[in-house]
Amino acid sequence: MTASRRILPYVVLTPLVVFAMFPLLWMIATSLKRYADVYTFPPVYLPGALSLEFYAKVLEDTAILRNMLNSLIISSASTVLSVTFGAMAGWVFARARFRGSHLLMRSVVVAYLLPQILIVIPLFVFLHRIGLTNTYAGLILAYVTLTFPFSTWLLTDYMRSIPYEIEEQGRIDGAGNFVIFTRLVLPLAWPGLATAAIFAFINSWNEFLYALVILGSGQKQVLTTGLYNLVGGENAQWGPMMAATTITMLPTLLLFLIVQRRLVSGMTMGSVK
Amino acid sequence: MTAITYPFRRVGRFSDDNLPILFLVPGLLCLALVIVYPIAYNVYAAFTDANLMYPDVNFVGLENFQATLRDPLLGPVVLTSLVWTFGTVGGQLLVGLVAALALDRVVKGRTPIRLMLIVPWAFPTIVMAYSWRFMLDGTFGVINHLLMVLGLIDQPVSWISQPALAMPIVILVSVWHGFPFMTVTILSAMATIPDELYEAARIDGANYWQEVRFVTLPFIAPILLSVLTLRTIWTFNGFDLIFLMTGGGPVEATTTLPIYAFGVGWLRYDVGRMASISLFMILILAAIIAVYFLAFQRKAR
Repeated sequence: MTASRRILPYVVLTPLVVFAMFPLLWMIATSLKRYADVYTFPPVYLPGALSLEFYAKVLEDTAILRNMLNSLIISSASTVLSVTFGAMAGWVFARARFRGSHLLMRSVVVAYLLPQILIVIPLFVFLHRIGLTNTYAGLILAYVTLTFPFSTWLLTDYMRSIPYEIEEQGRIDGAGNFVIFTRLVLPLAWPGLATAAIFAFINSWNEFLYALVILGSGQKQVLTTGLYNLVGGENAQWGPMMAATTITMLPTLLLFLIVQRRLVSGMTMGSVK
Repeated sequence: MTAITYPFRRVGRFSDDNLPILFLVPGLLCLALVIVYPIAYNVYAAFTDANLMYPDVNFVGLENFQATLRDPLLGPVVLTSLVWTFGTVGGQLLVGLVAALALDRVVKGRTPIRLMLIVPWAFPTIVMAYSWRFMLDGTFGVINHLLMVLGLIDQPVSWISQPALAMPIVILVSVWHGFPFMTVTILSAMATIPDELYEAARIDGANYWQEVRFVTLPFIAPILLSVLTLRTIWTFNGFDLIFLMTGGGPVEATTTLPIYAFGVGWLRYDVGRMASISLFMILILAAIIAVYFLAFQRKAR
């Protein structure tokens, strides 16, 4: 291969990498600049000094820490439920072959084909009728329905790869279904469980529309709606805003980087939208 | 003989025997809540004057559908939806494919490059919407400055407030967010192509582009089809990004069907009409999917 041939892919990839990375870098850089370096045009690319003033302002003036706690509670709870139900259903789908099992598995995917708009209002009406709007439980329930199909899909796939002989041996030794599931299958499935958990957590943390409709304001609101409610008037305060978005994004960015290898292996199609 | 210890209190015989079925119950409830109930509700509500403000609900027959079809906004909104959907998916495919093909040829530094390319995927929609809005800001935005430095424009442009520019911008951000998914998918599909096919092509004297055209693309076409179909559906249904970047404006320039429906239902509380719009959306989706399959059935030959 000629030298130019070898460089060509890099030449093509460089603008793409810049395109991909620039917004993140700019966002973080802006959050660490001084006030005067942000509200100026032309923009300052290499600030003379960094400052945490925007982070201080965000922490003082907004309830971002409280929102983060809410996000943590709600995302964790929905993740635990989603992965538990997903493991249960996944095991059944992986092992059982009863009439209609195929149909059930297909309908799991359908859940992701319906427009959110179609789902959000009935869900709101339902939760309102049972008094769960504006509560943790309501949004947790909503997020379980949101993340359960994917958890199931992932875990069905994963559990299929667990050799049946292990369960057979367990049955021979006299173990009932429940024991086989909890003592044999689950421990072996823990990488799949971990992956499913991370995806469910990321999707719950980042979600916006359900949060807006079900828990849109007040003490219990999550990070995403908190951010939304910050941008009240026309006067967008960019500095603090970039600090707030960085804070919001950092946890799931880290989780995403941990789990991105699974994405590459092709195991997961469109898990994080 | 291995002894399995049973630290748990023995689950009742009945529940243990029927564990598989019991295990499906929570899942089935979830699915009922997220598929069956919403569809049923929407089908029901579309024929009523259901409203979030007033408790009483009356049957109104086809009124909602008529109102929707008569709305002069409907035509432009559908068009906007189609432009948004195909612009986004097309852009993601193009950029994703280029990135995948380039990355495939790279050995040194492949992992860090791939990791950097994936970053947009990690963004929550709201963070993405606000950071791009900042970069595109008419007064302080960095993009204006870069374009001016490159000589492409001579004054800062307020990108999102111009009706003609708003949709391309929103598509750009969506392509930025979605191309990593395409790249990763295409790369994994490419990894399954047997080397013999490439060797055979090379023996026949094919150059790189011919290899791509006659080996790579045909091989990954089936996977591409399913991925593109999924992507089309999700993009068509998409709400968050446009809502958070432009709110549907300026002057409805970026109002797609979901945004339109949301406005009717959540902001004007007219849930009945919103349901009719949702059902209308599903019809269009079904049509698009049918077109995809027909188009690709023909190509497969």
